[in-house]
Amino acid sequence: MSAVLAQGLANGIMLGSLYGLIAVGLALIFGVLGIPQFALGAHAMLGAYVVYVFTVSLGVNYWLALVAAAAALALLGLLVHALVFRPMSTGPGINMFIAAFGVLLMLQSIAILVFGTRYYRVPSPIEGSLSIFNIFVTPQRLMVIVVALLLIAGLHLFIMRTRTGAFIRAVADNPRGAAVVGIDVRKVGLTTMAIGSALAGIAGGLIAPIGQVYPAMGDLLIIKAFIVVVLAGMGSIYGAILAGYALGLAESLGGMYVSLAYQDAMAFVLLLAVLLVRPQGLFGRRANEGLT
Amino acid sequence: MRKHHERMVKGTSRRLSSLVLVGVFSGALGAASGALSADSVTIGVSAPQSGGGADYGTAFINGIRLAVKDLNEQLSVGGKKVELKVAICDDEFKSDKAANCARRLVSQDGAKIVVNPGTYATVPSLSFNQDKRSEFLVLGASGDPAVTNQNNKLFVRTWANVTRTMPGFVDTLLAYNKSTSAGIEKVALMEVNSDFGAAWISNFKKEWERHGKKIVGRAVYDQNGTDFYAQLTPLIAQKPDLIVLTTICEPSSLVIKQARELRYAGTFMNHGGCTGNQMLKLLPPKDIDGMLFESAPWTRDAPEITDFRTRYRAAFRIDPQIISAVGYLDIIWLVRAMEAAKSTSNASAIRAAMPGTLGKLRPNLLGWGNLDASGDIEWPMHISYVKNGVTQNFTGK
Repeated sequence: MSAVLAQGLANGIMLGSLYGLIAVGLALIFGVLGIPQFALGAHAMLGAYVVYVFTVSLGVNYWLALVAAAAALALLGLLVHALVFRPMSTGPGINMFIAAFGVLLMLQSIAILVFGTRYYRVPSPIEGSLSIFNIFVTPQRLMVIVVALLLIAGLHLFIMRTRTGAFIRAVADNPRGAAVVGIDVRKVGLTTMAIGSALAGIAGGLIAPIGQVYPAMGDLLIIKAFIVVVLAGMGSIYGAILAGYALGLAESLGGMYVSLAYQDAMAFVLLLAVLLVRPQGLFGRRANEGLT
Repeated sequence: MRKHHERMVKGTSRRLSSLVLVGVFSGALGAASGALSADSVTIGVSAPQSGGGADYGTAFINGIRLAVKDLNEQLSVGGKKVELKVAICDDEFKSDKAANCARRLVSQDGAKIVVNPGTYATVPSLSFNQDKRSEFLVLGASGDPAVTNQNNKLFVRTWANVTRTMPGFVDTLLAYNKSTSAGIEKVALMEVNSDFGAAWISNFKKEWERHGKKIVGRAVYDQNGTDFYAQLTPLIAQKPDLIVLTTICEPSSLVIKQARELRYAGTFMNHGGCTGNQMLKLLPPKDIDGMLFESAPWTRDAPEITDFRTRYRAAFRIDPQIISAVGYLDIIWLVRAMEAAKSTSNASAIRAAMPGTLGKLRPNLLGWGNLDASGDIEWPMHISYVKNGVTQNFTGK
């Protein structure tokens, strides 16, 4: 394998891990609550700001800052669900769509008011870059891959092996039936939103040392995550993981071997191709099939 | 849409919103104007205050604020004291929003002049600014050659036309290459996905290849992106001596950081939206040693430029960008043209007075000269570079 191809594969896996992490949250929230939570991009941005404040302003260890970002964003998820989405749940579906955009704009405006429009840097806990079989990668990028895989595995165990996870699956299958058998659907909704928001917050915190922290940093991420979720099939969290890696690799390798000028268009080409062949997405569920 | 009014001499705080926002800053006339009645003139500003261009847009607006503060202490047109107001619309750095902003600023705020900081806003405005019932003058900081090919009589370009400046700039780059033995032969291009990025890169490529030099790769990227490994990996594999970047400092610094992570050992060049001193605040000197910058007189240490930087820093607690100087000059120039035209509302008369008043532009932070009928101005460009952590200007030809 050529060094360039190997580097391209490594780049694609890192990108895919990041897309997958946010897309899983998006898919989980859509699968359980039916909410297209586009504001998760802004949640990722706020997660990055939390990490910035903790590490740079307060001098706290990066990993503790990441935990703080997850906790802060989980709390934000609870608030947003309780104050915005829950009161709108009985209205037409389009309301959720509009509300999600409203939350996105509001969170960006708050970030601008508090932090201004300038770019902030978060130092990586381990600086420098490594060469592994002629593949250059930074420790932070390796961390993104490892943490994303651990979180996805943890989420799988949580959903499949815990009582709350079973409740989440039940609500995703049939909310009315779940309520009939005594499951607190409201609490499940809050839990789901908190998990999705926390994952986005961690993603933002992970990416902060790789990029820069600024109010619009989540915009491109959420577009890519949305493409991943549609590729996978709305609501398919395991499909979102695979589709995240597929998109990351398509962008990385497509840019190298098809056209560097249209690297960002690869995502849309892939999306169109999949939707033409399989409109419900690669792993899309049919009606009332629950989480897949 | 939300409106707010703010006393300019008191107000330096930023009021920002991601929704379409119109802010009107009015100058302080106060007691000093005595019994004189004050007419007012509103200049429209279409600029991003939210989204990925918010930092750039805020820097542009801050330059405008500083000009209004300077001018409102002395402004009179046709012997009458005039209060200068600025109506701001957040265009989110998007063409469709910028078109709506221009329409709103003209129809709702009564602006006869709309200024903006980029091609994305200039191009849509020029499609309707000559409508007889609602004509307005556009000052756009666009480098795209296409905007002055439209024979628009109510337009002034407040950025360099890259078609005009590129031959001279590449000549200077070749002279630098020769005199410093920099050894730049193979160039890779990182083109930001904007009209300006495409125009700059196309013109540079044409000129560079005309001199028999090689372009070894061209990649397009989004300046709001985070990860550029996918673009950089194949470019670096071509072993370029120089990677050209076409956006403002912060996204460019991220590209440089990631290129160094991929063990790229060559150098970089950035177009005029970024300076060596700005870049030195973002990256360690060793990462940008030898980096080149397409530079305006803005990078020189002339007293008026230093004074502007000091006053800007005092007002906004941040360093100005080159687009801040553009915003500042836009307003100063417009007001001088209004004085010469003896009108604050006749867009054609103000435009007609602009060539003659360009010589009175003080301080001329960017060395603007010779406004022609197409709307182009002369914008002198030179090369500056970072060496051992210090920005220096290349003085050869």
